[in-house]
Amino acid sequence: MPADRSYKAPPLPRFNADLSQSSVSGLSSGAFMTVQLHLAYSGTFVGAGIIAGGPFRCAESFRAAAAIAEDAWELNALYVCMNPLIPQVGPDPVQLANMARETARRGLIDPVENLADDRLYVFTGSEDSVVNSGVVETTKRFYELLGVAPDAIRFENTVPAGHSIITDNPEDNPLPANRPPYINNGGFMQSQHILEHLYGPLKPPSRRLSGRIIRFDQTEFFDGKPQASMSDFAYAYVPKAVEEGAPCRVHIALHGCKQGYNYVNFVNGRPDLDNAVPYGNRYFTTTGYNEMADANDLVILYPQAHGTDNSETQNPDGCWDWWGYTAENPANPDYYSKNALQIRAIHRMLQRLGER
Amino acid sequence: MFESFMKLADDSVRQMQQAQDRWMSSLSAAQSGGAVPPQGATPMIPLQHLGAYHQVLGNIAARQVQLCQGLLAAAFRPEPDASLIVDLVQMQHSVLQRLADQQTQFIADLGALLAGAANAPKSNTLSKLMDQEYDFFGQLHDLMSNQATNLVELMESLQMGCGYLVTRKLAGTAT
Repeated sequence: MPADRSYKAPPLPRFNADLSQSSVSGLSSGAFMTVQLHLAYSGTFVGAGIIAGGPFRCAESFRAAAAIAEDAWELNALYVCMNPLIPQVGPDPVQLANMARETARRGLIDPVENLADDRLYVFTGSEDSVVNSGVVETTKRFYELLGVAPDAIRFENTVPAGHSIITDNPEDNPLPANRPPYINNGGFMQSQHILEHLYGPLKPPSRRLSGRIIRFDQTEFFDGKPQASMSDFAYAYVPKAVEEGAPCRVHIALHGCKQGYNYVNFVNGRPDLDNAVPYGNRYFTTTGYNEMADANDLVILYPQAHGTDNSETQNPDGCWDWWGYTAENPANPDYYSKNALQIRAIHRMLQRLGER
Repeated sequence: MFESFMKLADDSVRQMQQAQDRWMSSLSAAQSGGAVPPQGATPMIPLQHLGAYHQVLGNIAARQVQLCQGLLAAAFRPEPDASLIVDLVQMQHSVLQRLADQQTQFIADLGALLAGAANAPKSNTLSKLMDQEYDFFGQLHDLMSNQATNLVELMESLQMGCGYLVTRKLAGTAT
Protein backbone atom coordinates (compact mmCIF):
# COMPACT_ATOMS: atom_id res chain seq x y z
CA MET A 1 0.00 0.00 0.00
CA PRO A 2 1.43 3.47 -0.87
CA ALA A 3 2.59 5.30 2.25
CA ASP A 4 0.47 8.40 1.53
CA ARG A 5 -2.86 6.52 1.43
CA SER A 6 -4.81 5.17 4.31
CA TYR A 7 -6.54 1.79 4.34
CA LYS A 8 -9.68 1.53 2.29
CA ALA A 9 -13.04 1.82 3.95
CA PRO A 10 -15.68 -0.92 3.63
CA PRO A 11 -18.02 -0.85 0.62
CA LEU A 12 -21.32 1.05 0.73
CA PRO A 13 -23.96 -1.35 2.14
CA ARG A 14 -27.41 -2.07 0.69
CA PHE A 15 -30.56 -0.91 2.46
CA ASN A 16 -34.29 -1.30 1.96
CA ALA A 17 -34.49 1.95 -0.03
CA ASP A 18 -37.33 3.01 -2.30
CA LEU A 19 -35.29 4.75 -4.99
CA SER A 20 -38.35 6.22 -6.69
CA GLN A 21 -38.61 8.56 -3.67
CA SER A 22 -35.04 9.91 -3.91
CA SER A 23 -34.11 13.58 -3.85
CA VAL A 24 -30.97 15.69 -4.01
CA SER A 25 -29.73 19.04 -2.74
CA GLY A 26 -26.50 21.00 -2.72
CA LEU A 27 -24.70 24.27 -2.21
CA SER A 28 -22.83 26.22 -4.90
CA SER A 29 -20.93 23.76 -7.13
CA GLY A 30 -23.00 21.11 -5.31
CA ALA A 31 -26.10 23.05 -6.41
CA PHE A 32 -24.98 23.19 -10.03
CA MET A 33 -24.36 19.42 -9.76
CA THR A 34 -27.77 18.99 -8.10
CA VAL A 35 -29.42 20.51 -11.18
CA GLN A 36 -27.39 18.26 -13.49
CA LEU A 37 -28.12 15.13 -11.47
CA HIS A 38 -31.80 16.03 -11.18
CA LEU A 39 -32.14 16.48 -14.95
CA ALA A 40 -30.05 13.44 -15.83
CA TYR A 41 -32.23 11.20 -13.63
CA SER A 42 -35.50 13.12 -13.38
CA GLY A 43 -37.32 9.80 -13.55
CA THR A 44 -35.79 8.82 -10.20
CA PHE A 45 -35.83 12.08 -8.25
CA VAL A 46 -38.93 13.61 -6.72
CA GLY A 47 -37.31 17.00 -6.26
CA ALA A 48 -34.21 19.06 -5.71
CA GLY A 49 -32.87 21.68 -3.29
CA ILE A 50 -30.66 24.31 -4.87
CA ILE A 51 -28.69 26.73 -2.71
CA ALA A 52 -26.83 29.31 -4.80
CA GLY A 53 -26.67 27.34 -8.04
CA GLY A 54 -27.17 28.15 -11.71
CA PRO A 55 -29.06 26.40 -14.50
CA PHE A 56 -28.15 23.30 -16.52
CA ARG A 57 -25.16 23.59 -18.92
CA CYS A 58 -24.79 27.27 -18.11
CA ALA A 59 -21.02 27.11 -18.74
CA GLU A 60 -21.71 26.44 -22.41
CA SER A 61 -23.63 29.70 -22.91
CA PHE A 62 -21.02 31.53 -25.00
CA ARG A 63 -18.63 29.31 -26.96
CA ALA A 64 -16.90 32.28 -28.66
CA ALA A 65 -15.44 33.40 -25.32
CA ALA A 66 -12.08 31.84 -26.24
CA ALA A 67 -10.42 30.03 -29.13
CA ILE A 68 -9.89 26.92 -26.99
CA ALA A 69 -13.14 25.32 -25.79
CA GLU A 70 -11.80 24.46 -22.33
CA ASP A 71 -10.88 28.12 -21.73
CA ALA A 72 -14.28 29.27 -22.99
CA TRP A 73 -16.19 27.04 -20.54
CA GLU A 74 -14.16 28.31 -17.61
CA LEU A 75 -14.66 31.96 -18.59
CA ASN A 76 -18.39 31.28 -18.92
CA ALA A 77 -18.47 29.65 -15.51
CA LEU A 78 -16.82 32.65 -13.87
CA TYR A 79 -18.35 35.59 -15.70
CA VAL A 80 -21.72 34.37 -16.97
CA CYS A 81 -22.78 31.72 -14.47
CA MET A 82 -21.38 33.04 -11.19
CA ASN A 83 -20.91 36.76 -11.22
CA PRO A 84 -22.08 38.51 -14.40
CA LEU A 85 -21.62 42.28 -14.49
CA ILE A 86 -25.30 42.86 -15.32
CA PRO A 87 -28.28 40.47 -15.60
CA GLN A 88 -28.29 40.79 -19.40
CA VAL A 89 -24.95 38.95 -19.55
CA GLY A 90 -26.04 36.24 -17.13
CA PRO A 91 -27.45 32.84 -18.11
CA ASP A 92 -30.30 32.82 -20.61
CA PRO A 93 -32.98 30.45 -19.26
CA VAL A 94 -34.70 30.11 -22.65
CA GLN A 95 -31.49 29.07 -24.41
CA LEU A 96 -30.60 26.64 -21.62
CA ALA A 97 -34.09 25.13 -21.42
CA ASN A 98 -33.88 24.47 -25.17
CA MET A 99 -30.47 22.87 -24.66
CA ALA A 100 -31.94 20.66 -21.93
CA ARG A 101 -34.80 19.55 -24.22
CA GLU A 102 -32.33 18.78 -26.99
CA THR A 103 -30.09 16.86 -24.57
CA ALA A 104 -33.11 14.79 -23.51
CA ARG A 105 -34.10 14.18 -27.15
CA ARG A 106 -30.64 12.71 -27.73
CA GLY A 107 -31.24 10.35 -24.81
CA LEU A 108 -28.37 11.74 -22.73
CA ILE A 109 -30.67 12.65 -19.85
CA ASP A 110 -34.15 11.49 -18.81
CA PRO A 111 -37.16 13.11 -20.58
CA VAL A 112 -37.72 16.61 -19.20
CA GLU A 113 -41.45 15.86 -18.95
CA ASN A 114 -40.61 13.96 -15.75
CA LEU A 115 -39.96 17.30 -14.06
CA ALA A 116 -43.60 18.37 -14.21
CA ASP A 117 -44.56 16.82 -10.85
CA ASP A 118 -41.27 17.51 -9.06
CA ARG A 119 -40.78 19.88 -6.16
CA LEU A 120 -38.01 22.48 -5.93
CA TYR A 121 -36.41 24.55 -3.23
CA VAL A 122 -34.31 27.38 -4.70
CA PHE A 123 -32.40 29.74 -2.42
CA THR A 124 -30.12 32.74 -2.88
CA GLY A 125 -28.86 34.92 -0.05
CA SER A 126 -29.24 38.64 -0.70
CA GLU A 127 -25.62 39.15 0.49
CA ASP A 128 -24.13 36.43 -1.70
CA SER A 129 -21.08 37.80 -3.55
CA VAL A 130 -19.94 34.46 -5.01
CA VAL A 131 -22.96 33.34 -7.05
CA ASN A 132 -25.07 36.33 -7.97
CA SER A 133 -28.75 36.26 -6.95
CA GLY A 134 -29.81 37.07 -10.52
CA VAL A 135 -28.17 33.84 -11.69
CA VAL A 136 -30.12 31.79 -9.15
CA GLU A 137 -33.35 33.46 -10.29
CA THR A 138 -32.63 32.19 -13.80
CA THR A 139 -32.46 28.66 -12.33
CA LYS A 140 -36.02 29.06 -11.11
CA ARG A 141 -37.10 30.44 -14.48
CA PHE A 142 -35.29 27.59 -16.27
CA TYR A 143 -37.28 25.01 -14.31
CA GLU A 144 -40.55 26.83 -14.94
CA LEU A 145 -39.83 26.78 -18.67
CA LEU A 146 -39.36 23.02 -18.41
CA GLY A 147 -42.79 22.60 -16.87
CA VAL A 148 -42.32 22.65 -13.10
CA ALA A 149 -45.44 24.18 -11.57
CA PRO A 150 -44.74 27.59 -9.95
CA ASP A 151 -46.51 26.52 -6.75
CA ALA A 152 -44.17 23.51 -6.47
CA ILE A 153 -41.20 25.88 -6.27
CA ARG A 154 -40.22 27.50 -3.00
CA PHE A 155 -38.01 30.41 -3.99
CA GLU A 156 -36.23 32.39 -1.26
CA ASN A 157 -34.19 35.52 -2.01
CA THR A 158 -34.81 37.82 0.92
CA VAL A 159 -32.65 36.31 3.68
CA PRO A 160 -29.53 38.51 4.13
CA ALA A 161 -27.19 35.54 3.86
CA GLY A 162 -23.81 35.29 2.20
CA HIS A 163 -22.74 32.33 0.10
CA SER A 164 -23.54 29.46 2.46
CA ILE A 165 -25.81 26.75 3.74
CA ILE A 166 -27.61 28.11 6.77
CA THR A 167 -27.65 26.46 10.19
CA ASP A 168 -28.46 27.40 13.76
CA ASN A 169 -25.05 26.39 15.12
CA PRO A 170 -23.41 29.13 17.18
CA GLU A 171 -19.96 28.02 15.94
CA ASP A 172 -20.73 28.84 12.32
CA ASN A 173 -19.91 32.05 10.41
CA PRO A 174 -22.11 35.14 10.76
CA LEU A 175 -25.05 35.08 8.34
CA PRO A 176 -23.76 37.64 5.76
CA ALA A 177 -20.27 36.09 5.49
CA ASN A 178 -18.92 34.92 2.13
CA ARG A 179 -16.03 32.76 3.28
CA PRO A 180 -15.18 29.12 4.02
CA PRO A 181 -16.51 26.88 5.32
CA TYR A 182 -19.59 28.52 3.74
CA ILE A 183 -21.75 27.34 6.66
CA ASN A 184 -23.43 30.36 8.27
CA ASN A 185 -25.56 30.77 11.34
CA GLY A 186 -28.97 32.18 10.45
CA GLY A 187 -30.97 30.77 13.34
CA PHE A 188 -32.59 27.92 11.37
CA MET A 189 -31.57 24.68 9.70
CA GLN A 190 -31.90 25.18 5.96
CA SER A 191 -31.49 21.46 5.26
CA GLN A 192 -34.71 20.86 7.21
CA HIS A 193 -36.61 23.43 5.16
CA ILE A 194 -35.36 21.68 2.02
CA LEU A 195 -36.43 18.21 3.13
CA GLU A 196 -39.84 19.41 4.29
CA HIS A 197 -40.48 21.18 1.03
CA LEU A 198 -39.43 18.17 -1.04
CA TYR A 199 -41.27 15.51 0.96
CA GLY A 200 -44.13 17.39 2.60
CA PRO A 201 -44.73 17.43 6.37
CA LEU A 202 -42.09 15.41 8.25
CA LYS A 203 -41.56 14.52 11.90
CA PRO A 204 -39.45 17.09 13.77
CA PRO A 205 -35.69 16.45 13.87
CA SER A 206 -34.35 14.00 16.45
CA ARG A 207 -32.71 15.57 19.48
CA ARG A 208 -30.45 12.58 19.88
CA LEU A 209 -29.32 10.53 16.88
CA SER A 210 -30.09 6.83 16.97
CA GLY A 211 -28.10 5.93 13.88
CA ARG A 212 -24.56 6.46 12.69
CA ILE A 213 -22.45 8.01 9.97
CA ILE A 214 -20.82 5.34 7.84
CA ARG A 215 -17.62 5.88 5.87
CA PHE A 216 -17.40 3.89 2.63
CA ASP A 217 -15.01 3.34 -0.25
CA GLN A 218 -16.03 5.72 -3.00
CA THR A 219 -13.38 4.70 -5.55
CA GLU A 220 -15.33 1.68 -6.83
CA PHE A 221 -18.02 4.03 -8.16
CA PHE A 222 -15.68 6.06 -10.38
CA ASP A 223 -13.35 3.15 -11.11
CA GLY A 224 -10.51 4.97 -9.38
CA LYS A 225 -10.06 7.38 -12.29
CA PRO A 226 -8.03 10.38 -11.09
CA GLN A 227 -9.72 12.79 -13.51
CA ALA A 228 -13.00 12.25 -11.60
CA SER A 229 -11.56 14.49 -8.86
CA MET A 230 -13.46 12.46 -6.25
CA SER A 231 -12.11 11.43 -2.85
CA ASP A 232 -11.28 7.91 -1.71
CA PHE A 233 -14.03 7.96 0.91
CA ALA A 234 -17.58 9.23 1.10
CA TYR A 235 -20.17 9.16 3.89
CA ALA A 236 -23.79 8.34 4.59
CA TYR A 237 -26.02 8.86 7.59
CA VAL A 238 -28.06 5.73 8.36
CA PRO A 239 -30.80 5.75 11.02
CA LYS A 240 -30.82 2.75 13.36
CA ALA A 241 -34.21 1.51 12.12
CA VAL A 242 -32.98 1.59 8.52
CA GLU A 243 -29.85 -0.32 9.42
CA GLU A 244 -32.12 -2.93 10.98
CA GLY A 245 -34.11 -3.28 7.74
CA ALA A 246 -36.85 -0.64 7.84
CA PRO A 247 -37.89 0.80 4.47
CA CYS A 248 -36.27 4.14 3.70
CA ARG A 249 -35.88 6.94 1.20
CA VAL A 250 -32.58 8.46 0.07
CA HIS A 251 -31.53 12.09 -0.06
CA ILE A 252 -28.20 13.04 -1.65
CA ALA A 253 -26.49 16.08 -0.08
CA LEU A 254 -23.72 17.63 -2.17
CA HIS A 255 -21.15 19.89 -0.56
CA GLY A 256 -19.78 22.97 -2.33
CA CYS A 257 -16.23 23.98 -3.25
CA LYS A 258 -13.65 23.76 -0.43
CA GLN A 259 -16.06 21.66 1.67
CA GLY A 260 -14.95 18.08 1.02
CA TYR A 261 -13.48 16.13 3.95
CA ASN A 262 -9.95 16.23 2.50
CA TYR A 263 -9.90 19.73 1.04
CA VAL A 264 -6.41 21.22 1.13
CA ASN A 265 -5.92 24.96 0.84
CA PHE A 266 -3.50 26.29 -1.77
CA VAL A 267 -1.07 28.94 -0.50
CA ASN A 268 0.91 30.79 -3.16
CA GLY A 269 -0.09 28.11 -5.64
CA ARG A 270 1.08 25.14 -3.57
CA PRO A 271 -1.02 22.75 -1.48
CA ASP A 272 -0.61 23.64 2.19
CA LEU A 273 -0.30 20.06 3.40
CA ASP A 274 1.05 21.07 6.81
CA ASN A 275 -2.16 22.86 7.75
CA ALA A 276 -5.21 20.74 6.98
CA VAL A 277 -8.41 22.78 7.13
CA PRO A 278 -10.22 22.06 10.40
CA TYR A 279 -13.74 21.88 9.04
CA GLY A 280 -13.59 19.01 6.53
CA ASN A 281 -16.29 16.95 8.25
CA ARG A 282 -18.75 19.71 9.10
CA TYR A 283 -20.92 19.43 5.99
CA PHE A 284 -21.88 15.85 6.77
CA THR A 285 -22.08 16.24 10.54
CA THR A 286 -23.48 19.66 11.48
CA THR A 287 -25.76 20.91 8.71
CA GLY A 288 -28.92 19.37 10.17
CA TYR A 289 -29.67 16.75 7.53
CA ASN A 290 -28.86 13.85 9.86
CA GLU A 291 -31.32 14.87 12.61
CA MET A 292 -34.17 15.01 10.07
CA ALA A 293 -33.05 11.74 8.51
CA ASP A 294 -33.03 10.04 11.89
CA ALA A 295 -36.62 10.98 12.65
CA ASN A 296 -37.95 10.18 9.18
CA ASP A 297 -36.10 7.05 8.04
CA LEU A 298 -34.07 8.81 5.39
CA VAL A 299 -30.57 7.81 4.36
CA ILE A 300 -28.44 10.87 3.58
CA LEU A 301 -25.70 10.17 1.07
CA TYR A 302 -22.73 12.53 1.12
CA PRO A 303 -20.51 11.94 -1.95
CA GLN A 304 -17.15 13.74 -1.75
CA ALA A 305 -15.18 15.68 -4.36
CA HIS A 306 -11.58 16.69 -3.82
CA GLY A 307 -9.14 19.20 -5.26
CA THR A 308 -6.94 18.37 -8.23
CA ASP A 309 -4.79 20.92 -10.03
CA ASN A 310 -2.53 19.59 -12.78
CA SER A 311 -2.23 19.82 -16.54
CA GLU A 312 -5.18 17.42 -17.01
CA THR A 313 -7.65 18.53 -14.32
CA GLN A 314 -8.01 22.06 -13.04
CA ASN A 315 -10.12 21.85 -9.92
CA PRO A 316 -7.98 23.16 -7.04
CA ASP A 317 -10.98 23.99 -4.85
CA GLY A 318 -12.51 20.52 -4.93
CA CYS A 319 -15.70 21.64 -6.69
CA TRP A 320 -18.19 19.34 -8.39
CA ASP A 321 -17.86 19.48 -12.15
CA TRP A 322 -20.24 21.87 -13.86
CA TRP A 323 -17.88 23.35 -16.48
CA GLY A 324 -16.32 20.25 -18.00
CA TYR A 325 -13.05 19.65 -16.18
CA THR A 326 -13.68 15.87 -16.11
CA ALA A 327 -14.56 15.70 -19.82
CA GLU A 328 -12.35 13.62 -22.10
CA ASN A 329 -13.18 15.83 -25.08
CA PRO A 330 -13.32 19.50 -24.02
CA ALA A 331 -14.69 20.56 -27.41
CA ASN A 332 -17.79 18.48 -26.70
CA PRO A 333 -17.68 18.20 -22.93
CA ASP A 334 -19.77 15.68 -21.05
CA TYR A 335 -20.13 16.64 -17.42
CA TYR A 336 -23.94 16.79 -17.38
CA SER A 337 -25.31 13.53 -18.83
CA LYS A 338 -25.95 10.07 -17.41
CA ASN A 339 -22.54 9.10 -18.80
CA ALA A 340 -20.60 11.90 -17.10
CA LEU A 341 -18.00 10.53 -14.69
CA GLN A 342 -19.27 12.13 -11.50
CA ILE A 343 -22.97 11.75 -12.29
CA ARG A 344 -22.53 8.08 -13.14
CA ALA A 345 -20.59 7.55 -9.92
CA ILE A 346 -23.21 9.19 -7.71
CA HIS A 347 -26.03 7.34 -9.44
CA ARG A 348 -24.22 4.04 -8.90
CA MET A 349 -24.03 4.84 -5.17
CA LEU A 350 -27.76 5.50 -5.17
CA GLN A 351 -28.47 2.24 -6.93
CA ARG A 352 -26.38 0.33 -4.41
CA LEU A 353 -28.52 1.66 -1.58
CA GLY A 354 -31.62 0.22 -3.21
CA GLU A 355 -30.24 -3.12 -4.41
CA ARG A 356 -32.14 -6.12 -3.11
CA MET B 1 -17.26 50.20 -47.05
CA PHE B 2 -18.96 48.28 -44.23
CA GLU B 3 -18.26 44.92 -45.85
CA SER B 4 -14.60 45.91 -46.26
CA PHE B 5 -14.41 46.69 -42.54
CA MET B 6 -15.96 43.35 -41.63
CA LYS B 7 -13.66 41.46 -43.96
CA LEU B 8 -10.67 43.27 -42.50
CA ALA B 9 -11.74 42.29 -38.98
CA ASP B 10 -12.37 38.68 -40.05
CA ASP B 11 -8.96 38.51 -41.70
CA SER B 12 -7.30 39.96 -38.60
CA VAL B 13 -8.84 37.36 -36.30
CA ARG B 14 -7.91 34.55 -38.66
CA GLN B 15 -4.35 35.79 -39.07
CA MET B 16 -3.94 36.19 -35.31
CA GLN B 17 -5.17 32.66 -34.71
CA GLN B 18 -2.90 31.29 -37.44
CA ALA B 19 0.08 33.18 -36.02
CA GLN B 20 -0.75 31.85 -32.57
CA ASP B 21 -0.98 28.27 -33.87
CA ARG B 22 2.37 28.65 -35.66
CA TRP B 23 3.97 30.07 -32.52
CA MET B 24 2.60 27.26 -30.37
CA SER B 25 3.78 24.54 -32.76
CA SER B 26 7.26 26.04 -33.05
CA LEU B 27 7.38 26.28 -29.26
CA SER B 28 6.33 22.64 -28.93
CA ALA B 29 8.93 21.64 -31.51
CA ALA B 30 11.63 23.54 -29.61
CA GLN B 31 10.62 21.89 -26.36
CA SER B 32 10.45 18.36 -27.69
CA GLY B 33 13.51 18.54 -29.99
CA GLY B 34 16.22 15.96 -29.36
CA ALA B 35 18.87 18.59 -28.68
CA VAL B 36 17.03 20.22 -25.81
CA PRO B 37 16.31 18.82 -22.35
CA PRO B 38 12.91 17.11 -21.77
CA GLN B 39 9.82 19.20 -21.01
CA GLY B 40 9.69 20.40 -17.46
CA ALA B 41 13.48 20.55 -17.15
CA THR B 42 14.69 23.83 -15.63
CA PRO B 43 16.03 25.51 -18.83
CA MET B 44 12.62 25.03 -20.50
CA ILE B 45 10.54 26.64 -17.73
CA PRO B 46 10.84 30.25 -19.00
CA LEU B 47 9.91 29.08 -22.48
CA GLN B 48 6.83 27.24 -21.13
CA HIS B 49 5.73 30.31 -19.17
CA LEU B 50 6.24 32.46 -22.25
CA GLY B 51 4.08 30.04 -24.22
CA ALA B 52 1.30 30.21 -21.61
CA TYR B 53 1.37 34.03 -21.62
CA HIS B 54 1.35 34.08 -25.38
CA GLN B 55 -1.67 31.82 -25.54
CA VAL B 56 -3.72 33.76 -22.99
CA LEU B 57 -2.81 37.15 -24.45
CA GLY B 58 -3.55 35.84 -27.94
CA ASN B 59 -7.02 34.80 -26.74
CA ILE B 60 -7.60 38.24 -25.26
CA ALA B 61 -6.52 40.00 -28.46
CA ALA B 62 -8.66 37.75 -30.66
CA ARG B 63 -11.65 38.32 -28.35
CA GLN B 64 -11.10 42.06 -28.52
CA VAL B 65 -11.03 42.07 -32.32
CA GLN B 66 -14.17 39.94 -32.44
CA LEU B 67 -15.82 42.34 -30.02
CA CYS B 68 -14.92 45.36 -32.20
CA GLN B 69 -16.22 43.46 -35.19
CA GLY B 70 -19.51 42.81 -33.39
CA LEU B 71 -19.85 46.41 -32.28
CA LEU B 72 -19.19 47.56 -35.81
CA ALA B 73 -21.81 45.21 -37.16
CA ALA B 74 -24.28 46.43 -34.55
CA ALA B 75 -23.55 50.07 -35.42
CA PHE B 76 -24.16 49.55 -39.12
CA ARG B 77 -27.43 47.63 -38.74
CA PRO B 78 -30.30 49.13 -40.68
CA GLU B 79 -32.27 49.51 -37.44
CA PRO B 80 -29.83 50.40 -34.67
CA ASP B 81 -30.58 48.75 -31.30
CA ALA B 82 -30.79 51.43 -28.63
CA SER B 83 -31.00 48.80 -25.89
CA LEU B 84 -27.41 47.81 -26.66
CA ILE B 85 -26.23 51.30 -25.70
CA VAL B 86 -28.32 51.18 -22.52
CA ASP B 87 -26.87 47.77 -21.57
CA LEU B 88 -23.31 48.90 -22.28
CA VAL B 89 -23.78 51.97 -20.09
CA GLN B 90 -25.17 49.74 -17.31
CA MET B 91 -22.15 47.53 -17.65
CA GLN B 92 -19.84 50.51 -17.39
CA HIS B 93 -21.66 51.57 -14.24
CA SER B 94 -21.28 48.08 -12.80
CA VAL B 95 -17.53 48.11 -13.52
CA LEU B 96 -17.10 51.48 -11.81
CA GLN B 97 -19.07 50.22 -8.82
CA ARG B 98 -16.90 47.12 -8.52
CA LEU B 99 -13.72 49.19 -8.92
CA ALA B 100 -14.87 51.46 -6.11
CA ASP B 101 -15.68 48.43 -3.92
CA GLN B 102 -12.26 46.91 -4.61
CA GLN B 103 -10.55 50.18 -3.76
CA THR B 104 -12.49 50.57 -0.50
CA GLN B 105 -11.63 47.01 0.51
CA PHE B 106 -7.96 47.51 -0.41
CA ILE B 107 -7.67 50.64 1.71
CA ALA B 108 -9.40 48.94 4.65
CA ASP B 109 -7.08 45.91 4.41
CA LEU B 110 -4.01 48.12 4.08
CA GLY B 111 -5.08 50.11 7.14
CA ALA B 112 -5.55 46.89 9.13
CA LEU B 113 -2.13 45.67 8.01
CA LEU B 114 -0.39 48.88 9.07
CA ALA B 115 -2.24 48.90 12.38
CA GLY B 116 -1.15 45.30 12.92
CA ALA B 117 2.46 46.22 12.18
CA ALA B 118 2.33 49.15 14.57
CA ASN B 119 1.03 46.89 17.35
CA ALA B 120 3.26 43.89 16.68
CA PRO B 121 3.89 41.80 19.78
CA LYS B 122 7.17 42.26 21.58
CA SER B 123 10.15 40.32 20.17
CA ASN B 124 12.66 38.92 22.63
CA THR B 125 14.78 37.21 20.02
CA LEU B 126 16.30 38.20 16.71
CA SER B 127 14.64 35.21 15.01
CA LYS B 128 11.17 36.31 16.17
CA LEU B 129 11.85 39.88 15.06
CA MET B 130 12.92 38.69 11.61
CA ASP B 131 9.83 36.49 11.41
CA GLN B 132 7.63 39.48 12.14
CA GLU B 133 9.34 41.61 9.51
CA TYR B 134 9.00 38.96 6.83
CA ASP B 135 5.38 38.29 7.84
CA PHE B 136 4.60 41.95 7.27
CA PHE B 137 6.13 41.99 3.81
CA GLY B 138 4.48 38.68 2.98
CA GLN B 139 1.07 40.08 3.92
CA LEU B 140 1.72 43.25 1.96
CA HIS B 141 2.68 41.16 -1.05
CA ASP B 142 -0.53 39.10 -0.73
CA LEU B 143 -2.60 42.26 -0.54
CA MET B 144 -0.99 43.76 -3.63
CA SER B 145 -1.27 40.56 -5.63
CA ASN B 146 -4.93 40.13 -4.65
CA GLN B 147 -5.63 43.67 -5.78
CA ALA B 148 -3.89 43.07 -9.11
CA THR B 149 -5.71 39.75 -9.64
CA ASN B 150 -9.07 41.34 -8.86
CA LEU B 151 -8.37 44.07 -11.38
CA VAL B 152 -7.46 41.60 -14.13
CA GLU B 153 -10.53 39.54 -13.25
CA LEU B 154 -12.70 42.62 -13.71
CA MET B 155 -11.06 43.30 -17.07
CA GLU B 156 -11.73 39.72 -18.20
CA SER B 157 -15.30 39.93 -16.97
CA LEU B 158 -15.90 43.17 -18.89
CA GLN B 159 -14.46 41.78 -22.09
CA MET B 160 -16.47 38.57 -21.76
CA GLY B 161 -19.64 40.45 -20.89
CA CYS B 162 -19.35 42.85 -23.84
CA GLY B 163 -18.60 40.03 -26.27
CA TYR B 164 -21.51 37.92 -25.02
CA LEU B 165 -23.93 40.84 -25.03
CA VAL B 166 -23.06 42.01 -28.55
CA THR B 167 -23.20 38.46 -29.89
CA ARG B 168 -26.64 37.94 -28.37
CA LYS B 169 -27.91 41.29 -29.64
CA LEU B 170 -26.75 40.48 -33.15
CA ALA B 171 -28.37 37.07 -32.96
CA GLY B 172 -31.55 38.67 -31.62
CA THR B 173 -31.64 36.45 -28.51
CA ALA B 174 -31.02 39.10 -25.85
CA THR B 175 -33.98 40.69 -24.16
